Amino acid sequence: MQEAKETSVKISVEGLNAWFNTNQVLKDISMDIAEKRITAIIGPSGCGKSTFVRCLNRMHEVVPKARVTGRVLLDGEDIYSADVDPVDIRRRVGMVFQKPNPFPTMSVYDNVAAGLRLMGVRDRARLDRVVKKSLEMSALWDEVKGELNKSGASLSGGQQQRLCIARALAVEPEVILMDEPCSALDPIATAKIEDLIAELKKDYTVIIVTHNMQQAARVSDYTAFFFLGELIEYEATRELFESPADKRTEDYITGRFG
Amino acid sequence: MVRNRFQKEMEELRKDVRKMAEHAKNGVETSVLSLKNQDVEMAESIFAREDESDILNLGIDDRGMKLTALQQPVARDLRFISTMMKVSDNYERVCDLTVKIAEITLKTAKKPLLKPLVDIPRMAQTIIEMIDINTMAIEKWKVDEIGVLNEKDDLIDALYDQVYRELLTFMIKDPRTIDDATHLLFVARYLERIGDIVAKTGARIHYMITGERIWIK
Amino acid sequence: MRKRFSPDTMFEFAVGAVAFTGVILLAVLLLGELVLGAMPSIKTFGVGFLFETTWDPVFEKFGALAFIYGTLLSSFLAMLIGVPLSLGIAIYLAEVASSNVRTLISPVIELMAAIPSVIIGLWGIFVFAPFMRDYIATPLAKYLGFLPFFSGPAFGLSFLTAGFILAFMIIPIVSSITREALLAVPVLQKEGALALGATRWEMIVMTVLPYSRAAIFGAVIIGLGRAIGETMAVTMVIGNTPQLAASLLAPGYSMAAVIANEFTEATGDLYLSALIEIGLILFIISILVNASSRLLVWRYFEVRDSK
Repeated sequence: MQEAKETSVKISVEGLNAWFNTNQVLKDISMDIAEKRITAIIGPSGCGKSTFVRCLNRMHEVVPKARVTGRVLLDGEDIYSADVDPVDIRRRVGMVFQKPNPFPTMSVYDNVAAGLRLMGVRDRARLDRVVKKSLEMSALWDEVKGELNKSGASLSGGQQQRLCIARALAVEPEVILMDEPCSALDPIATAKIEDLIAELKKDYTVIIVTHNMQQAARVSDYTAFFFLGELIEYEATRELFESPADKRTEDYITGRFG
Repeated sequence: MVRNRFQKEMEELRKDVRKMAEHAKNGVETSVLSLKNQDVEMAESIFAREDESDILNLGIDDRGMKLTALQQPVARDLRFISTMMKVSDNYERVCDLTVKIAEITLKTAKKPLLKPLVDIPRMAQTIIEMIDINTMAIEKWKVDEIGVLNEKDDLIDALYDQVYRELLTFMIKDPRTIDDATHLLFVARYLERIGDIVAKTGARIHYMITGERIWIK
Repeated sequence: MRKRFSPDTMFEFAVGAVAFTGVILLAVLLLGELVLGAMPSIKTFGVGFLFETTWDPVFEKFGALAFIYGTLLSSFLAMLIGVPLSLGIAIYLAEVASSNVRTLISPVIELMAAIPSVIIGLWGIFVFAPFMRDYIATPLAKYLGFLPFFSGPAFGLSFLTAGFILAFMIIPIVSSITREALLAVPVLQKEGALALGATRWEMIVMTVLPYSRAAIFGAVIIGLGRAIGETMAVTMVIGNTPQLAASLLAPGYSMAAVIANEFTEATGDLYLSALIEIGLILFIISILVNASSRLLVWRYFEVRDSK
């Protein structure tokens, strides 16, 4: 993992286990996630990749009867320690979901500003500035700048997803989690978002879950392969797709199963 | 089994590359034999077969490109397809060189050879052994024998030096032999080149199987 | 040829006939009967009927204003008291309680709607009204008596008592519909808010309530419809005094109550006709309120499912 030596570790996962009720979904996961790089998580359905990512912003525990053990260090501090407020973590670690979920009763402007307002920001000038900047970063500004008051739900699917990305960016997180962000979109919308993700790398640490291996190959610097709740292989994307070390990885990415 | 069609196409690719190996082996054996026996007919049969190998190589390249474009191969599959295309190309160049050797047979057929050929056929034989090692490695998907290519390539280089010195001696002693000696020198040169190509092909096959790059000399 | 009498078309015809006769025709006929019966009163008193407070069977002078006032006031009080409580219960059950607690308590609350109105009325007369008078109305009159709402003597049977009873009766249905509407908010929306750094409560205010506001509004109007039409329980605790009192602690009368109470005693055609006219007014108000609420709630669930 030579590239990792040039950048620091943003998130360090140590012995992470996760359960839904009595069903163990993640088994002893340990990995270091590089700062300001794009890390892809791949694996067949049910391998735990979505659960893993939801443990990084403490969303897993929102589901009733869900449980987590182990440590997740964000800049060296365990987000699961008793004196940490999950709400704080979720501001520092943003999330974009599989299906775009803009708030339908809010306008485009209000959607993007929602996170800031939660933080208590009231100054209109500041909100205007941040909304514009976030929409520009998610390549949506030109398309909506004249109609910021339109309902968030009136946009196309691809636009809605970019709106959700802008909304996540507005609170200036350090890490952005994306759970299969393009699976509900058409190829052109997907391509736009992939370009966007590549840009985000400059300022954010990005972790993207995807069932589309070509996407992982196109977009990420590092790739982790999960299978049946375990981390099987984790290395530079080039290595994993050219000469994977584990046979299970190779069988999965060559389509022999999955 | 999953990806059945894909597997079948790759098997076809493998078979075609085996055929290319046969062409190359044949070319080397036949051209050197025709030179040794000064058999013009034999030499001419090589020209006839030259097109076959060309077409086969193009077919392999075409199939490889198609599989890459349509099947998104990764890892082992990707290394396999790209290597097969390279191997085929390499063997095609070997065939081109054997054609040149056959041309020399024609040029030197009018009078008896400068000297009976000993080292040159030995070079040819070593090359054939090297091609067999490559083919076996692909079939078995094992790299144990690839190391042997090193020695064999060294042997070919040594034989070439020998032939070079011998022919040089001839040319210094009697300038009238320069023409004939030069032809034979060229043949030795071509065989040395072929040896190099086959050795490099072995290195590439090693990468295909293990993902590791090595150098053979 | 075959299509005309196929099993399918006959089925459609049969079902359509039942729907038509069973419901619409009945409603139309009912309306017709009401108008017919109210005709004498309408002819005699005209529009002034709606604005006249006098209700004098002896001199045959009738006016509906006191009853309209009573129905509207008691319903309004029922909304004021009942809606916040219903909302609170619904939010608690949908967002705070564990699914075990929710499964246990929800049916209990819904069953409360099944309690016969007359039983609640009895409980009202013998238990609740005295309680109201002693522990709520009296202190209100004492300390806040300067306000017109709480002026005058503190009665047990009053607008306020009726308001409380009605609130108690609408809470089951309003909270249940609201609860279901809240539960129907997609998890994706809620998680979207949480992932942005919202606390539980912020998430509810930001996503759950706005998302289901149409259905909540509809539920409230359903409650209003019930309150307006509620007869027995109100009759028993409202005091049966036709007057336009400003004080909530005073006794009053409602449209449904007067019809129930005086129908059997109505001597004279004009008396009867006046009561029927009140029934007509009540019918129209109820239909309007109920229809609009059904439309709202139905549309909410329709739209949500299509997304």
